[in-house]
Amino acid sequence: MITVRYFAGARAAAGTDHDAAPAGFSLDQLAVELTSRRGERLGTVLKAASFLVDGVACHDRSEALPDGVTVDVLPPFAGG
Amino acid sequence: MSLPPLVAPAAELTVDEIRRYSRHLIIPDVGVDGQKRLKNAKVLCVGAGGLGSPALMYLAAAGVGTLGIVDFDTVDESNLQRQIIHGQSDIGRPKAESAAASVREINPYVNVVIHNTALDRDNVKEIFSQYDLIVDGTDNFATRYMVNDAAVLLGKPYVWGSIYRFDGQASVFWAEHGPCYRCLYPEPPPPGMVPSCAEGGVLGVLCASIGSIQVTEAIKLITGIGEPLVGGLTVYDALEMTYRKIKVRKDPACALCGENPTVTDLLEDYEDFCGAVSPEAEEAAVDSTITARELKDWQDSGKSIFLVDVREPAEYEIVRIPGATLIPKGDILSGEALARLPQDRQIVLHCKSGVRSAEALAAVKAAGFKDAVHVQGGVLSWIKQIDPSLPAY
Ligand SMILES: [Zn+2]
Repeated sequence: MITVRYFAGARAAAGTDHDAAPAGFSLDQLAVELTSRRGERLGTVLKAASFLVDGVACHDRSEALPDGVTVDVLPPFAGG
Repeated sequence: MSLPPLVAPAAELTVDEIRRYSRHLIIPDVGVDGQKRLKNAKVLCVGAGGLGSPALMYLAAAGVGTLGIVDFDTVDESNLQRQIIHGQSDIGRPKAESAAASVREINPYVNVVIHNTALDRDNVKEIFSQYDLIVDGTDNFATRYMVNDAAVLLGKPYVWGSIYRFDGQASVFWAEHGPCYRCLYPEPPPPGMVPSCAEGGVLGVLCASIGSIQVTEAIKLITGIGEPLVGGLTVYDALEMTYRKIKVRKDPACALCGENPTVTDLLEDYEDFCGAVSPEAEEAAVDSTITARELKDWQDSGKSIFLVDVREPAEYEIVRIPGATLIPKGDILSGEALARLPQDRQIVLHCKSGVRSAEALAAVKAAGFKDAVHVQGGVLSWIKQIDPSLPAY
C-alpha cells in the first residue's frame, strides 16, 4: 500500500488530504489513477507538483514504488 | 537536530540595549549571550514585500545588528494590503528605502544596509557574502532558484518562505546540514501552470504567518537554540488552520548539492531556466501579438472581432476591457470552451499581463483558429495606454 498525502492546492483540488494506492505503482501510474479518482483539476496540479517519497524527491517517475511508502504531493508556489 | 550558534556574541550590550531587550534577556535560552549574538548578526532580507515586511520588522525589533534589504521595486498602492512595512506616504518610493526608514523607526540600534537594486547573477554572490544568513521573501521562481544556488555555492544558510492565497510553506535550507530548495523542487514548474500572487491573489495576513516563522528560524539559527527547520518543511493552511511539518531529506541526485552535482556555478539566465512562457505559447505569439493601442484601433474601426478575457471571474469583476467576453484560460486549455468561439470573427485574447493569453493562444490556434491573436501586456497595458481611469491591480 502507498499512502498519498496532499498539501496546499493539491489538497483543495483533491477534496481530501490523503489517498491510498496499491504498492508497485510508479508515480506516473499513480498520477493517472489519482486523476481518474479525483478529477482533472487534481490532474493539472499533479503536472506541476513535487513528489516526495518518504521525504526524498523522486526523479524517475516510471519506477515502481515499494510497499509502505508515503508520497507527499507538494504544489510549488513562489509568492512572497 | 540542534546546531551550534551561527554567530559569535558581540563584546557587550549597552545599558540602553539591556533596557530595550529585557524581555529577551530574561528568557534563559536566549539570555545576554543570545542577545549579543543577535547584535553581532548580519541578516539579508531578499525582497521588502509581503514576507519581507514582517520579517524585517521583527528582525529589527529583535535586535539583529545589521539588516540588509535588497529590493529594486517601488511601493505601489496594491502592495499596502499586506506589505505593512510601507505606508500610504511611501507610494512611489523605492521599497528598500521605505523599509529602511521603518526599520530605523522600530530600532535605531540596527545598522541598515540598503541594496536598491535587482539581484542578478553578477551581484548576488558579492551581496550574500556580506551576511551570515539570508531570508528569502522574493516573489518569483527565477529569483528563488538563484537565491538557493548562490546560498548553496557560498555555504550560507537561508530561511525560505512562500505564500499563495491561503497556503504557506517555510523551511531552512542549508546544504551543509540538510536539503536545499532544489532537493524539494528539483525543477521549476512548467511556465504558465502556477499562478503568481499577482494573478491568483494572497490573503494579506498570510505574510505574517509565514514571515514570523522565518524570523523565528533566523533567531534560532543565530543563537543556536531549539531545533532548526533544517530537513523540515512547514506547510500552513489558513482555512483549515493547520501547520503540518513534513520531513524533507537531502536528495542524493540533487543537481546542486547532491553526490554528482551538474550545477557547479550560477546559471547564465534564471528567467530562461524558469521560462516566462512555454515554448508552444512563445511560438504561437510570434506574428500574432497586438498592442492595446491596436486593439483600440480595431474596435474603433468596427473590425469584426471577438475579444476574449482569459482571466478568472474575480479579476473580471475588478476591471475589464469593454466588449470582452470572459472565458477563463482553464476552460480554453481543456477544450471545453472552444465551441463558444465564433468561426467568422477575428479572435483576440487578453489576460492581465500577456502570459496566460499566450498560453491560451497556443490552444486556440491548435484548434484551428489560425488568425487568432493576443494582446501584449494584457489589461494592464490597456489601462496604461488607453484608459488610465481604470483600476490596475
Ligand atoms: Zn539540493
